[in-house]
Amino acid sequence: MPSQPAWRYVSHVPDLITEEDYEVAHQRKTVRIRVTVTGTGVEILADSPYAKELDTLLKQLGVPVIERMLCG
Amino acid sequence: MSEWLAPSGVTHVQKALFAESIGNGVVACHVCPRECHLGPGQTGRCHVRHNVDGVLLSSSYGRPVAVGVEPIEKKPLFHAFPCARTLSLGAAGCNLTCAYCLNAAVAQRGVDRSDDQRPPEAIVEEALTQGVECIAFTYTELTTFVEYALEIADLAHDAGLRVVAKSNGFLLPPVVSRLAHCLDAINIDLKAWLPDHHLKLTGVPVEPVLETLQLVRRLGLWLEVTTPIVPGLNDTPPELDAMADFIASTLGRDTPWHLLRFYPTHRMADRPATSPSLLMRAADAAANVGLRYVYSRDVPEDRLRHTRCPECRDIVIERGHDWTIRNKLNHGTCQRCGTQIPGVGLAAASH
Repeated sequence: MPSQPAWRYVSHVPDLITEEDYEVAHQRKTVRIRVTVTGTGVEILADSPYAKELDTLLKQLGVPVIERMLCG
Repeated sequence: MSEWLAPSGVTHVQKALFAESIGNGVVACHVCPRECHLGPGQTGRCHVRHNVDGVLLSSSYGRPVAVGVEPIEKKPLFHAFPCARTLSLGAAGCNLTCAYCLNAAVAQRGVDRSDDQRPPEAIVEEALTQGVECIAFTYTELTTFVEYALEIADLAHDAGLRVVAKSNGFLLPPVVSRLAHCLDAINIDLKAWLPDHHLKLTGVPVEPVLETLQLVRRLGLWLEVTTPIVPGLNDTPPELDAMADFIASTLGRDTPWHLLRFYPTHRMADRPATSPSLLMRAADAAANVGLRYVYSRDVPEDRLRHTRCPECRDIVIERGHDWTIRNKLNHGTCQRCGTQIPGVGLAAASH
């Protein structure tokens, strides 16, 4: 079982979900992911209207740190 | 006063404001309408106000959970200091228990060892170092860290900074009055209109929020209102009409109303996110009662992001998702027809 990731709150995270995704959000739970190989490792950018599913997925991937924006 | 160690291991020494000793070691907290009566060793519903040996202490003082530089438009505040960058911060805790809270991880808990430690002076120093124009109290409910916020606001104004806030509005009038004198603008949530809907969403009645909105308007603090449109709850035409009518008739047609998307999360993960078409329907309801400034950053084609002159319909402030692209106002007026646009700091920020 992967250990719990650390949470970090940041001012900006790019959007991957589009307005069209929200129009059909009642029909399916879309999660969009972009994986980038960087000089120091792998960066996963993920976006979804369904934060719980996203958190579960990232935890299962064993990411050490999750950065997210706060509302407000 | 002796130092006290909370269950989380955080030390607390800040005496709370708006507290009253009511005998037998019990203190009453008069920040919000819950008015918690706390016996020795008890903690308020907000998680961050504690009775320690008969004295009310605030554990959120000087302990922000997040501090970052963000545009003022993200709060959202659209008619206050456009283009301004804010040093945004919030501390742990909240006096509401919103079922859909996106920030529950920090709002529905007390202060933790991992939270930052920054006295008010350090926050203002950081704002000056970052070169921002404003400090914004946001992310969680500012009244649960009201002592911290008031001291920061005083220091910030002395340093020439503006101070703005986001609030859930569930406050007692003396707190509202105190805040109105140390803030430059505020955005307050009206999360639902029907009493049972507001209670279901937030855990508290709506009436005190309505009173706060009216008091803020009377006190002259610049006010904008935000409503999350929750599918299947507060999205019916009668409820949307009632909220729009209250804002227009009681707070004034010039009050900006922000319509936000609901995201399925926390205890409301079972319903869909708000669709753009539903947000547009809510905006139509607002327009029908004569509200002049209705916004939603969550609809396509930027239809509800810009400020338009209510007379000639020219775009006077052009925005991206949550930032100002161009402020075209001329000393707060429409360049094309000269109509005054309501707000605060509209002229000073033009560029």
